[in-house]
Amino acid sequence: MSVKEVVKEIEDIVTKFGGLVELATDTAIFIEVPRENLKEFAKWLYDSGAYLKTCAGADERDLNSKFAVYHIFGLDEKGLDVVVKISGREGEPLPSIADVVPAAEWCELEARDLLGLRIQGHETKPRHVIPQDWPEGLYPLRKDVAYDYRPPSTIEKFEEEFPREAGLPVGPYHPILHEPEYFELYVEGERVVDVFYRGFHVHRGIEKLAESPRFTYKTIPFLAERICGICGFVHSSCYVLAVERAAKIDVPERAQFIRSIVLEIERIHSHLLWLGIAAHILGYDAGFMHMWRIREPVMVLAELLTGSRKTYGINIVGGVRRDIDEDKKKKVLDVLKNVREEYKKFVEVLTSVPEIVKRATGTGILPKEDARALSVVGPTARGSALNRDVRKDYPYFAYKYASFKVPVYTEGDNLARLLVRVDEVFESINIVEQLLHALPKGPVVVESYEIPPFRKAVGAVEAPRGEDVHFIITGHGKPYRWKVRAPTYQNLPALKVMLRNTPLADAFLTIASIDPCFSCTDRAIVIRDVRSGSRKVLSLLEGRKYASK
Amino acid sequence: MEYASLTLLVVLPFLIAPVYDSIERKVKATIQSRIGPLGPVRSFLQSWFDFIKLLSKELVLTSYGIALITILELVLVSATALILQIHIFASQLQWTAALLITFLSISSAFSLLRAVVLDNPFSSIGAFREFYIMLAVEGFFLSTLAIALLIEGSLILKILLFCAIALSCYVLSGRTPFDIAEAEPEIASGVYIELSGPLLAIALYSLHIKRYVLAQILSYTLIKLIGITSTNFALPCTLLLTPVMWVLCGVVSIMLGRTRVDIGPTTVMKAMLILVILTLIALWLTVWFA
Amino acid sequence: MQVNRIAAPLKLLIIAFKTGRVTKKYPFGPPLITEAFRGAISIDPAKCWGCGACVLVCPPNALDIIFEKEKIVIEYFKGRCIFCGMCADTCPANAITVTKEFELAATNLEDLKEDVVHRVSKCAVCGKPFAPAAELRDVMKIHPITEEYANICPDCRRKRTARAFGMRFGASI
Repeated sequence: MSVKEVVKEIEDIVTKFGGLVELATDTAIFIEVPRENLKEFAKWLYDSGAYLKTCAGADERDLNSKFAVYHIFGLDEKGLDVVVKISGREGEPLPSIADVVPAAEWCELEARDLLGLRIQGHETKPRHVIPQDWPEGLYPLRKDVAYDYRPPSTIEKFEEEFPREAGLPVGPYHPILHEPEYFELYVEGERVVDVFYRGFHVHRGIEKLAESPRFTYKTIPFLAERICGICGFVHSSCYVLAVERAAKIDVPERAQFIRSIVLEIERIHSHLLWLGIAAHILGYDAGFMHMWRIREPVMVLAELLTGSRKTYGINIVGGVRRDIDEDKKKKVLDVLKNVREEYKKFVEVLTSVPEIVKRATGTGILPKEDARALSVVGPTARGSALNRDVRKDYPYFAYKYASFKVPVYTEGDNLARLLVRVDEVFESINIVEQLLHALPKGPVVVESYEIPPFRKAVGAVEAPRGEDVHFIITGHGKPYRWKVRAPTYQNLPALKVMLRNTPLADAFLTIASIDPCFSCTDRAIVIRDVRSGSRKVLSLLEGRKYASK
Repeated sequence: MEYASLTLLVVLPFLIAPVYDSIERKVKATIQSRIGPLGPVRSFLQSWFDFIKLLSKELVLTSYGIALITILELVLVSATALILQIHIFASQLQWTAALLITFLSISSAFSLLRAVVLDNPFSSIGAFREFYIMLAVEGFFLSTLAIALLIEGSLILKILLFCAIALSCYVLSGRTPFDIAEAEPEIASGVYIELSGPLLAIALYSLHIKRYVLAQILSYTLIKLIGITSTNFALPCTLLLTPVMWVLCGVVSIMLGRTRVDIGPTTVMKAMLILVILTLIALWLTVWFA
Repeated sequence: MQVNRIAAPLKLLIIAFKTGRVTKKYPFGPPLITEAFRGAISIDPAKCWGCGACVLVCPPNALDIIFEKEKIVIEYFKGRCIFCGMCADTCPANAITVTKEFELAATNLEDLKEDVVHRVSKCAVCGKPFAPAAELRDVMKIHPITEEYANICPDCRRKRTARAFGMRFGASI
């Protein structure tokens, strides 16, 4: 079925549900449905094979006196984003689709916390995103709250939040975590039976900051780049992709190629970093040192191409700021050839160390049904037999000009996820070489463009950790609403399933195997028991009672 | 004259164990393609510098039990080192061998004591892991060491004993793959988590002395294997082989990852059982044919 | 096959000896940066106009423009600079160069601030300060306007133009 036919089919269904199609582009279709029919429509979409990317709440009281919630679904085979909007006035109840689509729970809780929406079914749940000592009734993402307002704190409230029973606390500071997070592992002997997680310690309010007077379209790519220290370029690329789709800016082909090349270089460096960390977690420090030694020329390449080892700063709306000339191209090809050889030799050594193989096999298993229900993305999904990759399913930038394989393993354990990443490095080196040889001539940036206000768009980019989604509603000079959903956010619920019955020693490898980037995430978790079929939605505080059974 | 050299011998482990540790760190760093301790002085004295620096840091004591255990461990390990030196100096005195075995066996009870006293969840897990390793290895280690020190047997017996002792010494020295008691990425340094400042300095120093004892046992057994124990070369060779053994253990540890508490001890125990059975067979054959 | 599997971890030693030591002795040696590296910026006071275009485009607001009575100050605070170089790309006078300096630690916060101070020209008609002298000088180089025109502030220029228009239609002002 072609895209047009799919759009027609969706339009027919939408009219049956009483909604209407606002806009249909070749990458996305924007639908509005009445509140009452949302659940059925979502169920139809989910059963037809869509998966939920994220949902974003927005304060649209300036435009039409209502709050809106946008549920963003993705149809993998067609490469189409389906954005379903519902709206309601202040205080009106909005339906939740969390029992139909399990992955929706978090983003709905987030919308409830940050915008004060009354989402049915979530009213009594404890706070998700904002800390316990935040004053009641203050919703940060509403337009009438100033971005630099600092409310007074009530520290006594913190006591209620953290469980007191004897679990093994991992965090907020632990040698294995690069960022502060709080896991509480419930162990029997040396086996983990349950986990309680509280995150959001590094919530920096980036979405609110982007709506403040301090930022404009021109300067937000730099802000987006600093969402994460390893995959920053992915965030800035996703942002400019969304804005360019919304404003229908025609970006020169050469710029798209350069963006793809730098994205792949970022993927190479991120996977080499992760492999080193995984070796370190398993006690094989020589693996850590050598993997990072092999990674160092890639970092120098990034600096040569963009001017900085990390936080590249070359993405702007309309193109890139740096070009790749013949000298640089030759250098990149030489360095990558060396990297490939050394990497191949070292990976053979790494995957033959008996401790690494024995400990990573059979631990942290994520079965395929759970992976589908929780809509996990990236190597976490590809290690559990889900063939999902944004570069192939929703092509963007110059990926349609490169041919590459997507590695998929079926076991779903830590070793599978490790091997997915090992293979992806080889594929990425291939892609860079192909794109460099096919680099078209032309300018690298479009000089002038117009961004009309109140256009919507969805951008999705394959980060090293999975799919990164940005949702933009354009405004005057800066976005009206910018929603970031990082890949680790989508993958964290899977930890609850993966950590069950894992030996404690490998719990940390399991946590690390989803390649958590908590800076990207800055969200929190609600534990759910997907496996038993009983959709028992446990709140943050109930999780510990579940563990002591 | 003899007393002078005996004094020197007895004091040697306490001075030189951190030096050997620095050398091991330098070798590890070379295998990992980095520099490690920088410069000719630091290549040999880095661990001493660390010890002195740790002594100057703040001491945060969560319970007196921890301080007691740490100091007790130092005393125990130092006594073991002393006895070992005396035995090597005068190996014809059989009571030194018996005393050595006794002191080595106290350390296994000691690790159980540690598991009971520490109440931080991470240190309990670390201490119990240490105890599992002890259980898997200690019995075999002590019996084979006793046989090696006290009995002169055939070459095959000596080789088997040497293999068993080498494996036990490596496992007990707390290096990867068996450093699960103080796994930093997993349990935030396990048994060492509550130690700080001078106490941590003492704990690490005890670890160095323990490794010295194990390395020296290993080199002495090798000397016995070669068969020059009764000559004048025995003592200098033992002393020279000790750093070689130490560094070899370091090199082996670099090439392996960390094991898991259910995999590691059972694998070691299986290996030891095989070796011990073979040793007993060899011993029986020696007696039969004698 | 079995021997291969046991020997494979040993290959580590071969790899290590072939590679040798890769760590460099920085800071006891030269910094390891490529030719494309972006460090702190340096504003050339002779070329700078004081127009403030860099201030508008700086993402972390490391550049600030301060209006005082007789001067305009462009203040550059290295503590907030992210070394993106947008200011250098935007400056119409090409006064900003991106250097390769990144070793910027200082014990005094004021040491990290650099000011470019501009004298402000006064309007020949009303006497109000209205634009930096450097900007007027360079704008006159680029555009064919006379010094008489450039010496008047925009308000007075508007009044003058309105008067000239009126005269063409017979008004006497």
